[in-house]
Amino acid sequence: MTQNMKGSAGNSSSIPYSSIQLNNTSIVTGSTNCGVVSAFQIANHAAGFCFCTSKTYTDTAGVRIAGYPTTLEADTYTGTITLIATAQ
Amino acid sequence: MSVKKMVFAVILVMLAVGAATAQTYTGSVPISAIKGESVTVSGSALSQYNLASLAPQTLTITSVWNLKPSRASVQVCVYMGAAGKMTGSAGNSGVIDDTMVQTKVGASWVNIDAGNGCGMTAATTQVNSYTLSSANRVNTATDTVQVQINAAAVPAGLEADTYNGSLTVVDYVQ
Repeated sequence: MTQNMKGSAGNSSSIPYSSIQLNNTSIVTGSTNCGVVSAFQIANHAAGFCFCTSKTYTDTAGVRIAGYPTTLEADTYTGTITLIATAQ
Repeated sequence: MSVKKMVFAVILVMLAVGAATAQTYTGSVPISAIKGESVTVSGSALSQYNLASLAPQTLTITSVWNLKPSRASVQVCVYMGAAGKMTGSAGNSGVIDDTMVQTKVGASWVNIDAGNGCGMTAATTQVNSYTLSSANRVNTATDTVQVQINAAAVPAGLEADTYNGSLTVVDYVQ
Protein backbone atom coordinates (compact mmCIF):
# COMPACT_ATOMS: atom_id res chain seq x y z
CA MET A 1 0.00 0.00 0.00
CA THR A 2 1.55 3.27 -1.05
CA GLN A 3 -1.21 5.83 -0.65
CA ASN A 4 -3.43 6.99 2.18
CA MET A 5 -7.12 6.09 2.34
CA LYS A 6 -8.99 9.10 1.04
CA GLY A 7 -12.51 10.44 1.55
CA SER A 8 -14.91 12.47 -0.56
CA ALA A 9 -13.98 15.47 -2.66
CA GLY A 10 -13.28 18.43 -0.44
CA ASN A 11 -12.19 16.29 2.47
CA SER A 12 -8.48 16.75 3.00
CA SER A 13 -8.22 14.38 5.94
CA SER A 14 -7.14 10.79 5.35
CA ILE A 15 -6.19 7.53 7.02
CA PRO A 16 -2.41 7.12 6.68
CA TYR A 17 -1.39 3.91 4.95
CA SER A 18 1.19 3.42 7.67
CA SER A 19 -1.77 2.86 10.04
CA ILE A 20 -2.84 -0.23 8.13
CA GLN A 21 -1.53 -3.35 9.80
CA LEU A 22 -1.13 -6.90 8.55
CA ASN A 23 -0.86 -9.47 11.29
CA ASN A 24 -0.48 -6.60 13.79
CA THR A 25 2.51 -5.13 11.97
CA SER A 26 2.44 -2.00 9.83
CA ILE A 27 2.02 -2.73 6.16
CA VAL A 28 4.92 -0.34 5.64
CA THR A 29 7.87 -2.52 6.58
CA GLY A 30 10.77 -0.39 5.44
CA SER A 31 12.45 -3.43 3.92
CA THR A 32 12.33 -4.86 0.43
CA ASN A 33 10.11 -7.89 -0.12
CA CYS A 34 8.99 -9.42 -3.40
CA GLY A 35 11.36 -6.97 -5.02
CA VAL A 36 9.35 -4.00 -3.76
CA VAL A 37 10.59 -1.51 -1.22
CA SER A 38 8.52 -1.55 1.99
CA ALA A 39 6.27 -4.40 0.89
CA PHE A 40 4.97 -6.82 3.50
CA GLN A 41 5.78 -10.49 2.92
CA ILE A 42 2.88 -12.74 3.78
CA ALA A 43 4.30 -16.10 2.66
CA ASN A 44 7.23 -17.73 0.95
CA HIS A 45 6.53 -20.94 -0.90
CA ALA A 46 9.38 -23.15 -1.99
CA ALA A 47 8.60 -24.33 -5.50
CA GLY A 48 10.46 -27.63 -5.41
CA PHE A 49 9.84 -30.08 -8.21
CA CYS A 50 6.32 -30.44 -9.43
CA PHE A 51 5.27 -32.56 -12.35
CA CYS A 52 2.06 -30.59 -12.78
CA THR A 53 0.72 -27.71 -14.86
CA SER A 54 -0.34 -25.48 -11.96
CA LYS A 55 -0.44 -25.29 -8.23
CA THR A 56 -2.70 -23.24 -5.96
CA TYR A 57 -1.68 -21.64 -2.70
CA THR A 58 -3.96 -19.80 -0.34
CA ASP A 59 -2.42 -17.35 2.11
CA THR A 60 -4.13 -15.23 4.71
CA ALA A 61 -3.26 -12.13 6.72
CA GLY A 62 -5.19 -10.26 9.38
CA VAL A 63 -5.88 -6.68 8.27
CA ARG A 64 -6.76 -3.86 10.60
CA ILE A 65 -6.69 -0.10 10.81
CA ALA A 66 -4.58 0.61 13.84
CA GLY A 67 -5.36 4.31 14.19
CA TYR A 68 -6.39 7.54 12.52
CA PRO A 69 -6.04 11.27 13.16
CA THR A 70 -8.31 12.73 15.82
CA THR A 71 -9.39 15.33 13.27
CA LEU A 72 -10.53 12.72 10.74
CA GLU A 73 -13.78 13.93 9.20
CA ALA A 74 -16.91 11.81 9.10
CA ASP A 75 -16.78 10.22 5.67
CA THR A 76 -16.15 7.00 3.75
CA TYR A 77 -12.48 6.36 3.12
CA THR A 78 -11.16 4.07 0.41
CA GLY A 79 -7.76 2.84 -0.65
CA THR A 80 -6.04 -0.06 -2.37
CA ILE A 81 -3.78 -2.84 -1.15
CA THR A 82 -1.57 -4.18 -3.90
CA LEU A 83 -0.87 -7.91 -4.02
CA ILE A 84 2.39 -9.16 -5.40
CA ALA A 85 3.63 -12.64 -6.24
CA THR A 86 7.23 -12.91 -7.31
CA ALA A 87 8.49 -16.14 -8.86
CA GLN A 88 12.19 -16.84 -8.85
CA MET B 1 29.75 -38.88 -19.29
CA SER B 2 27.38 -41.20 -17.56
CA VAL B 3 23.60 -40.84 -17.80
CA LYS B 4 23.44 -39.80 -14.13
CA LYS B 5 25.93 -37.02 -14.68
CA MET B 6 24.05 -35.81 -17.73
CA VAL B 7 20.75 -35.66 -15.86
CA PHE B 8 22.41 -33.83 -12.98
CA ALA B 9 23.91 -31.33 -15.40
CA VAL B 10 20.54 -30.69 -17.04
CA ILE B 11 18.94 -30.11 -13.64
CA LEU B 12 21.65 -27.64 -12.70
CA VAL B 13 21.09 -25.73 -15.94
CA MET B 14 17.32 -25.64 -15.34
CA LEU B 15 17.80 -24.32 -11.82
CA ALA B 16 20.25 -21.72 -13.03
CA VAL B 17 17.86 -20.50 -15.72
CA GLY B 18 14.97 -20.40 -13.23
CA ALA B 19 16.96 -18.45 -10.68
CA ALA B 20 18.04 -15.91 -13.22
CA THR B 21 14.55 -14.87 -14.38
CA ALA B 22 12.43 -13.55 -11.51
CA GLN B 23 8.94 -12.58 -12.52
CA THR B 24 6.45 -10.42 -10.61
CA TYR B 25 2.67 -10.61 -10.84
CA THR B 26 0.33 -8.13 -9.15
CA GLY B 27 -3.29 -7.82 -8.13
CA SER B 28 -5.18 -5.43 -5.85
CA VAL B 29 -7.67 -5.48 -3.01
CA PRO B 30 -9.86 -2.47 -2.24
CA ILE B 31 -9.96 -1.37 1.39
CA SER B 32 -12.71 0.85 2.75
CA ALA B 33 -13.59 2.41 6.11
CA ILE B 34 -16.38 4.64 7.30
CA LYS B 35 -16.33 7.23 10.07
CA GLY B 36 -19.85 8.05 11.15
CA GLU B 37 -21.16 11.48 11.96
CA SER B 38 -21.42 12.68 15.53
CA VAL B 39 -23.09 15.67 17.14
CA THR B 40 -23.50 16.56 20.79
CA VAL B 41 -25.12 19.69 22.16
CA SER B 42 -25.46 20.84 25.76
CA GLY B 43 -26.48 23.95 27.65
CA SER B 44 -25.03 25.49 30.77
CA ALA B 45 -27.10 25.48 33.93
CA LEU B 46 -29.18 28.53 34.76
CA SER B 47 -29.40 29.85 38.27
CA GLN B 48 -32.78 30.10 39.93
CA TYR B 49 -34.65 33.26 38.97
CA ASN B 50 -36.11 35.37 41.75
CA LEU B 51 -39.46 36.70 40.58
CA ALA B 52 -39.14 39.56 43.05
CA SER B 53 -36.02 40.87 41.33
CA LEU B 54 -35.73 39.39 37.87
CA ALA B 55 -32.48 39.68 35.96
CA PRO B 56 -31.37 38.15 32.66
CA GLN B 57 -28.95 35.26 32.57
CA THR B 58 -26.59 33.99 29.93
CA LEU B 59 -27.18 30.52 28.57
CA THR B 60 -24.08 29.01 26.97
CA ILE B 61 -24.67 26.32 24.35
CA THR B 62 -21.77 24.04 23.47
CA SER B 63 -21.94 22.03 20.26
CA VAL B 64 -19.42 19.43 19.19
CA TRP B 65 -19.79 17.93 15.74
CA ASN B 66 -17.99 15.87 13.12
CA LEU B 67 -19.98 15.94 9.90
CA LYS B 68 -19.72 14.55 6.39
CA PRO B 69 -18.54 16.76 3.52
CA SER B 70 -22.05 16.63 2.06
CA ARG B 71 -23.43 18.63 5.00
CA ALA B 72 -24.06 22.31 4.39
CA SER B 73 -24.95 23.92 7.69
CA VAL B 74 -25.62 23.65 11.42
CA GLN B 75 -28.22 25.76 13.18
CA VAL B 76 -28.18 26.15 16.95
CA CYS B 77 -31.50 26.82 18.68
CA VAL B 78 -33.16 26.87 22.08
CA TYR B 79 -36.83 26.53 22.93
CA MET B 80 -39.11 25.83 25.87
CA GLY B 81 -42.20 24.35 24.28
CA ALA B 82 -45.23 23.09 26.15
CA ALA B 83 -43.21 20.30 27.69
CA GLY B 84 -40.72 22.68 29.25
CA LYS B 85 -43.12 25.04 30.99
CA MET B 86 -42.27 25.83 34.60
CA THR B 87 -44.68 24.32 37.11
CA GLY B 88 -44.93 24.52 40.88
CA SER B 89 -45.76 22.06 43.59
CA ALA B 90 -48.66 19.61 43.46
CA GLY B 91 -51.93 21.44 43.84
CA ASN B 92 -50.55 24.65 42.37
CA SER B 93 -52.00 25.17 38.91
CA GLY B 94 -49.97 28.27 38.14
CA VAL B 95 -47.30 28.01 35.44
CA ILE B 96 -44.60 30.09 33.82
CA ASP B 97 -44.84 29.10 30.17
CA ASP B 98 -43.05 29.98 26.96
CA THR B 99 -45.06 33.19 26.54
CA MET B 100 -43.41 34.53 29.68
CA VAL B 101 -39.79 33.60 28.89
CA GLN B 102 -37.73 35.74 26.56
CA THR B 103 -34.42 35.48 24.76
CA LYS B 104 -32.08 38.02 23.28
CA VAL B 105 -29.65 37.10 20.51
CA GLY B 106 -29.45 40.44 18.75
CA ALA B 107 -30.58 43.79 19.99
CA SER B 108 -34.02 43.09 21.38
CA TRP B 109 -35.90 40.66 23.58
CA VAL B 110 -38.36 38.25 21.99
CA ASN B 111 -40.46 35.39 23.29
CA ILE B 112 -38.34 32.24 23.38
CA ASP B 113 -40.67 30.25 21.14
CA ALA B 114 -41.62 32.97 18.67
CA GLY B 115 -38.86 32.57 16.11
CA ASN B 116 -38.03 30.26 13.22
CA GLY B 117 -35.09 27.91 12.92
CA CYS B 118 -33.85 24.36 13.32
CA GLY B 119 -36.72 23.10 11.19
CA MET B 120 -39.34 24.76 13.43
CA THR B 121 -41.65 27.65 12.60
CA ALA B 122 -42.65 30.15 15.27
CA ALA B 123 -41.48 27.76 17.94
CA THR B 124 -37.87 28.48 18.77
CA THR B 125 -35.01 30.93 19.12
CA GLN B 126 -32.23 30.49 16.58
CA VAL B 127 -29.02 31.32 18.36
CA ASN B 128 -26.57 30.82 15.52
CA SER B 129 -26.15 29.32 12.06
CA TYR B 130 -22.90 27.89 10.72
CA THR B 131 -22.11 27.40 7.07
CA LEU B 132 -19.93 24.32 6.88
CA SER B 133 -16.62 24.09 5.06
CA SER B 134 -13.46 22.06 5.35
CA ALA B 135 -12.45 24.47 8.10
CA ASN B 136 -15.31 23.62 10.47
CA ARG B 137 -16.78 20.22 9.61
CA VAL B 138 -14.96 18.97 12.70
CA ASN B 139 -15.72 21.63 15.24
CA THR B 140 -16.56 22.73 18.75
CA ALA B 141 -18.82 25.77 18.84
CA THR B 142 -19.80 27.87 21.83
CA ASP B 143 -22.81 30.15 21.54
CA THR B 144 -24.52 32.36 24.08
CA VAL B 145 -28.03 33.69 24.40
CA GLN B 146 -29.59 35.88 27.05
CA VAL B 147 -32.60 34.39 28.82
CA GLN B 148 -35.03 36.18 31.08
CA ILE B 149 -38.47 35.75 32.60
CA ASN B 150 -40.63 38.62 31.43
CA ALA B 151 -41.98 40.12 34.65
CA ALA B 152 -44.74 41.92 32.78
CA ALA B 153 -46.08 38.64 31.41
CA VAL B 154 -46.07 36.64 34.63
CA PRO B 155 -49.58 36.60 36.19
CA ALA B 156 -49.84 38.85 39.20
CA GLY B 157 -51.68 36.12 41.05
CA LEU B 158 -48.96 33.52 40.65
CA GLU B 159 -48.72 31.58 43.89
CA ALA B 160 -45.62 31.68 46.03
CA ASP B 161 -43.79 28.51 45.06
CA THR B 162 -40.73 27.13 43.32
CA TYR B 163 -41.31 26.68 39.60
CA ASN B 164 -39.23 24.28 37.56
CA GLY B 165 -39.13 23.70 33.84
CA SER B 166 -36.61 23.06 31.10
CA LEU B 167 -35.21 24.54 27.94
CA THR B 168 -34.25 22.36 25.02
CA VAL B 169 -31.09 23.10 23.05
CA VAL B 170 -30.91 21.91 19.47
CA ASP B 171 -28.31 21.41 16.77
CA TYR B 172 -30.03 21.12 13.39
CA VAL B 173 -27.81 19.70 10.67
CA GLN B 174 -28.57 20.01 6.98
